[in-house]
Amino acid sequence: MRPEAALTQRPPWALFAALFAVVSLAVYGLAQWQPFAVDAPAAAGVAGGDAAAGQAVYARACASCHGAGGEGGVGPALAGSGIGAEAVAVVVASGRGIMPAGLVSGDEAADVAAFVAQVSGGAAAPGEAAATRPGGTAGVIGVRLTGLSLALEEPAPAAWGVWLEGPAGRLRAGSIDAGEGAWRDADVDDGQTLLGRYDTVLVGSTADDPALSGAFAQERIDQLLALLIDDPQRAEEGSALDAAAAQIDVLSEHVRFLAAARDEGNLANVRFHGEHMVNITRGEPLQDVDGNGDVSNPGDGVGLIDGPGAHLRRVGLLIGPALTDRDREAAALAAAIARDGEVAGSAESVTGAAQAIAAIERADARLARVWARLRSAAVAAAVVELQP
Amino acid sequence: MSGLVAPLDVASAYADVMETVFTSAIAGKAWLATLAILLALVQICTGARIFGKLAGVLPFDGGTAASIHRWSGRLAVLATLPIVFHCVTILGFQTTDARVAIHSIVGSFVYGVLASKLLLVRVHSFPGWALPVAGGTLFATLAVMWVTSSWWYFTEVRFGF
Repeated sequence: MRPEAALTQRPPWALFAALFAVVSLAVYGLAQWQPFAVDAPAAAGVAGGDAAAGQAVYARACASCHGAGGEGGVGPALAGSGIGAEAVAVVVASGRGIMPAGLVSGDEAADVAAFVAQVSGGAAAPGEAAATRPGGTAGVIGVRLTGLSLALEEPAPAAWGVWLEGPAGRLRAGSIDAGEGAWRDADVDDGQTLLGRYDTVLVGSTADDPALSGAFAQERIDQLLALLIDDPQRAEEGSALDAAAAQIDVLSEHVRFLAAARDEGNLANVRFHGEHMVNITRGEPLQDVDGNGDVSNPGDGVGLIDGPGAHLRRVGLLIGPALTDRDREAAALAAAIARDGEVAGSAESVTGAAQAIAAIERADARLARVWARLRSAAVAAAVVELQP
Repeated sequence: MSGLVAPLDVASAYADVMETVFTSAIAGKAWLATLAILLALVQICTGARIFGKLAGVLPFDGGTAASIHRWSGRLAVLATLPIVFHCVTILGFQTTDARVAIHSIVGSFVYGVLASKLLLVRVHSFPGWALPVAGGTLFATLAVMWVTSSWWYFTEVRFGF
């Protein structure tokens, strides 16, 4: 018998029960605490959400998982759940379980939050403040960063002004009414890009003594401008996001060509377009995958996944660490297309390539969805915290 | 802002690690839970062998069975650690629907059952039926956890790495 085997002659049931209770309660307590829960600045614009407009957004972005009427499906039922607009906004912005973050953003996120809150029966009363601590967030919104959105954690105690300040001087962006918690203007300064000209948001009775303020770091401004407006690391004009989107479009177009070659039973074209899968995704050095003596590449040679300037890597770098999981998912799909492209590009028969082509079609369809989410998240990435 | 940065860093780092192997963190959890439940099955079989059952099915002696039992148990616990980290510290206790509620409630007890079972292994003054019952209970809780997570994921979301 081992020495520890006989702590007592009578079974220590109390110790048994206590151990079970203490460990279980500790796990439960930790789960309630959620020390590493991602609490994203998600409530931007919620109070201004339009439930009617949100219904269309819901049908497009949410119904496939949560059901057309919010009855549930892959995702949990929302109808009658009592979830409020603020909570919906948090989940939409930060994701939950398999639901990715940033499925919709900006006005659409506020609208869909209002709609879901209505369906769930948990809509907040107009003007109700969701949080009690002071502060809030300011987001530069729009693909061209032309607008500004505020979400205050306490309603404005009086009519407050909103100003932007930076190298271009000071600009009065608008005003927020007393008792309101949110404000937005999609076009603050005649459609001109705000970041780069302004770096600070001021909110309060006067700009000289603001109640709340927040400033974008110059490094973040440069990243956002490269991501959404013009990437200085590229020879051509245009943003990193647009450059990546253009190559994803080229890839998708050639996936269709590859499928057409399969349907026609044309082995030479299957191999030819299989080579394109490899070269579009991996970029230079280009490969003669089909072995016909010619290197063929309809892409820009930069590639989506390999090399320091690869489009998806660049977008991931610029968009920020909180969203790199989207970028990684997109890159994993592009890498899978490259691998299966090698198989198709060197296949001995059309039948032999069929499985790889089917996998490429599936990965391409997923890539389109992931990319759409990544793009939405990128456009909503310019958020700064407002503090007293 | 300081309250926001650390959780994001931790959650991102966790996702980064999981996504070096799997396509997503949740896919990783589904497969690790599957590994854990398979090892738990090994536990059930070798546990039965230690108690003199299944001798015709498992043609090795009780000492070998005990060794397999210990190592499969250690590996099973190791496999659950990333899952527990994600579920408990990032996702937390949720009751959004019946599946999630059952998963959260039963999940709160898994390590409690495990700790109690280990106590039964160490302290021999408990009645003989206690250890098999505790082992069976632990397997049952793991099975509920697997059905409400991995099985759901494989059948409702996707079956793949």
